[in-house]
Amino acid sequence: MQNIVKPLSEEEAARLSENVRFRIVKRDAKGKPFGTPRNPRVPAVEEFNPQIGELNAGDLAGAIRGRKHGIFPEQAENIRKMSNDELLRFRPEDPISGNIQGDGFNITGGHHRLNEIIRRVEAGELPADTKVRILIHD
Amino acid sequence: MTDNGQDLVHGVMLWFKRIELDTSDPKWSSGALDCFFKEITSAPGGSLRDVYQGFDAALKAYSIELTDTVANLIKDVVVQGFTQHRSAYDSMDWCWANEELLHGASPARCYLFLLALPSEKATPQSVVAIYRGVQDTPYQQEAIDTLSDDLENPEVQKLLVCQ
Repeated sequence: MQNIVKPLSEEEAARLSENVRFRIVKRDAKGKPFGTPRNPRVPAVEEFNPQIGELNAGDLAGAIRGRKHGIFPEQAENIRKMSNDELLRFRPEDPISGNIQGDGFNITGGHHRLNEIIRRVEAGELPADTKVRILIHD
Repeated sequence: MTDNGQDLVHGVMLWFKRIELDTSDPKWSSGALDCFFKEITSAPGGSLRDVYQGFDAALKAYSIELTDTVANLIKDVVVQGFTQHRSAYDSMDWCWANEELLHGASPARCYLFLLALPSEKATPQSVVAIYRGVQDTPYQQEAIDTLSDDLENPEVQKLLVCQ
């Protein structure tokens, strides 16, 4: 996983919303979680350390080490209606995102899109070598 | 609380049941959470307090364990309310939470209050209840770090020694 992670361009980093930066896994220097009453601060871009991981769609299932939650059926149904282009488009306001864990990653956002990409690969609806861009962060 | 307030709290509890909180393995999406907040806060007589009071009531009624997924949901619910509804959050009354904590609360409920209850609105008794409530869970260190300033309060220290 590490060797396919590239720096995020300054332009793309600037387009990441505050909401996305609150996906940060690490806490502040005192160990307090960001975006909560005892630490209202938005993590700085340097603290968030955004990078881009590019994985083949066929390798995704094997790279996932953990997730924040399971799949919400209503959302899964909505995502199923998306075209491949819509599903794969990198959305700075709400990207598929993850935090490096060993040789894979823990999902921190875009659970339903990843689930649908994996389903389409398994169903033969999406080529396994399709590139998927994932925002990797601390 | 008014009848309408009770209905809203009940509605919040039902929403959490719909996302399978009662299994301690809830399933949600950021979009669903966003809609839920808007639905409750824009309902006649609805407020952010209904969201947190209903969430706490659901954690209590369904005897929810503090699993990693439940902790993730709690964090998402707190961050969403605090960052997206900031002025309502800042003016929210938390007396009910201090009252609940006086009667003892499960680790999941204490974790909710650890993240949600602002320092200036928490009584020393509540700080101690939260601190003790997440002891012996994987979230103990997070609680010590998060409450570090509160734990320096002499009244809190006195209670920690006495109890």
